[in-house]
Amino acid sequence: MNNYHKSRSIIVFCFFCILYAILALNLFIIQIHHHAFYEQLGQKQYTTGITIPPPRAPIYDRSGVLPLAMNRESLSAFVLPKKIGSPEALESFLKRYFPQALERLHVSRDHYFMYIARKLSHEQLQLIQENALADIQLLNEPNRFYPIPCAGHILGMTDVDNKGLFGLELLFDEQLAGTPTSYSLEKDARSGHFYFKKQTMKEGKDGTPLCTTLDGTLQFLAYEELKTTIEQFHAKEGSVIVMDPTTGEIIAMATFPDFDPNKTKDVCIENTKNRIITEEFELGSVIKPFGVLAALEEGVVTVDELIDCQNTITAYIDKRRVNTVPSSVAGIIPFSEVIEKSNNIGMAKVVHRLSTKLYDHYVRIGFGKKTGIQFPGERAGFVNHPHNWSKQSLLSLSYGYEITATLLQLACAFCMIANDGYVITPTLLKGNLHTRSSQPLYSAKTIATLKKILEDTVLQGTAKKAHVKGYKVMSKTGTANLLVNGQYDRTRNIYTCAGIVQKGSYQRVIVTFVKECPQKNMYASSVAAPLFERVAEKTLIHDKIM
Amino acid sequence: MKKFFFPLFVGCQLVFIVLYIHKSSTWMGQSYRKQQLEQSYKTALEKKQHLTHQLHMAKNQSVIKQCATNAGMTPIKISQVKSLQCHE
Repeated sequence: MNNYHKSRSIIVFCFFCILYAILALNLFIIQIHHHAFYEQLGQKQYTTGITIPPPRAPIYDRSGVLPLAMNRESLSAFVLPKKIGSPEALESFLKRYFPQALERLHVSRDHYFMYIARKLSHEQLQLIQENALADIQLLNEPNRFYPIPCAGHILGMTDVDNKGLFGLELLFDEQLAGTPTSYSLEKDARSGHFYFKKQTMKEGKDGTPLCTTLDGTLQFLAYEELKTTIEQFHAKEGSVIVMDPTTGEIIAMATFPDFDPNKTKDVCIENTKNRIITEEFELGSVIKPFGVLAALEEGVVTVDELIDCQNTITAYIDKRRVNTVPSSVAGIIPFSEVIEKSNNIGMAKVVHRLSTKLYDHYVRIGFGKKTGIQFPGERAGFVNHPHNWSKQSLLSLSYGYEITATLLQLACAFCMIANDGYVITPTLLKGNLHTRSSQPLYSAKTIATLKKILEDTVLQGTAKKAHVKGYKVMSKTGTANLLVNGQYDRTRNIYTCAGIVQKGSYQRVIVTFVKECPQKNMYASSVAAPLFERVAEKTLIHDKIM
Repeated sequence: MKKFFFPLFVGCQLVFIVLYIHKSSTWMGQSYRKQQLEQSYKTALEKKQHLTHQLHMAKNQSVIKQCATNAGMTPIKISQVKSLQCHE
């Protein structure tokens, strides 16, 4: 009997030993062999990672206080397709107000999440709130707001994910966006928004604000004046630029037509162009001051030299026809008056003496090459090289044809005059070390002479309507035909007025531009010059230069 | 000796356990408070952003211009501005 009990005990003992061995083996497999797997599984259950992007940095105007681009929260509507409680009501609502979302919902039935519409407008939000459907939920998303919409073509805008699309928003996208911070949170299944432990996995960086050289108030004022002129003359397009010639800072840069960057759904791509930088034109007589600079510097003419303008609209120089507008017809007049009256015949006769040197001077001033502004899409313009000249070319170049330039290039060229010959690099960013040439391009005497001519152009010449009483204004106007299908169309003109407003040490360069007025016999003296005067006045009052 | 050290040992263990529980609960309380403050900060930032947006909407230049136009105001001309001479 004892043996029987003993053997049974041994069997039971062995049985339990085997069981424990199996358990121990299982524990070994779980804890040692599959340690990494279960640790990872545990991490997945208890740890979650989140990435928080920093808020997009604002863009300020030159004061550093007025934001030109700032953040605001906007609401986006979404549904959870797998958890729709009232499908009929939801579909009826979407069919009526968000038909595209309904189509997407049909395709996304097995998705966990679906947007109905992002960045809801006020009307859309009201619709959703009034209908109060339980299945439609709202979530906060960052959005961009532009307090001064007329600066949109400079600032650009962001897409639905708050990434820069064009303009400064794109150019400085990385700087403005910063880098996100990644956290690892320890939480259990029931803790909801509460975490037990938070660890920073990757330290991010806040976006750096951008400070532009634009004056927000002046930008608005310049835009309003431009809009008034466009409406008055029923013009197609227009632009205004105001610069500080000492530093090259662009203080205002308005174009029309423009767009509202706050209304992304209504944006016309064509209107998002910054025409001042991205479009080039044959500007006509407004280029003449630079031919004058060349002629005076080369010594081929003096200010008082009498030039025979032949008292006619059409003349022939070197067997080539030169036309001038009826209002500029003159007889034998001093060279300074040739510019004041903007007589093409007189100008062509003087420039003819320069020959190919005119090209060198144009290029030296900066025409035919980019200004170096940090902005995408800048055009370099074009100056017809002497190798490609026809017999007409030199004459055409003298009064602003066969040379194309952007308005920014024109403004920079006038900044050179205002700076007594020193060339500057334009900038839209405050704090940029402004680049100024080490040597003046022209002698002080030549520059002073030109300034006097431009001042007289305002006092008694074609730019009379650009005059601001009590201030020194030096300006030149230009009316040019547009080249359409290889031919100059006399019915389609551009009108430009460029100049310098000065009082003491205060100087501003202003360029105004209007394109295609339907009225006949219009000239820059009556279209662009009054706009110049109004913009100059607004600038002087704003800057308190009395 | 046994009668003395054994209860001492058990007592110490109990004290450690109590201290550990106290530490964990304090830590959890502080963590909760921290998260509450983080949430308050986030809410305050959102409110600030919203108010800043409202401020700039209110200062909208187009609206101000419209109000001025409706009130019959006209833009000032430079010839209307007179500067006063300071006499000491």
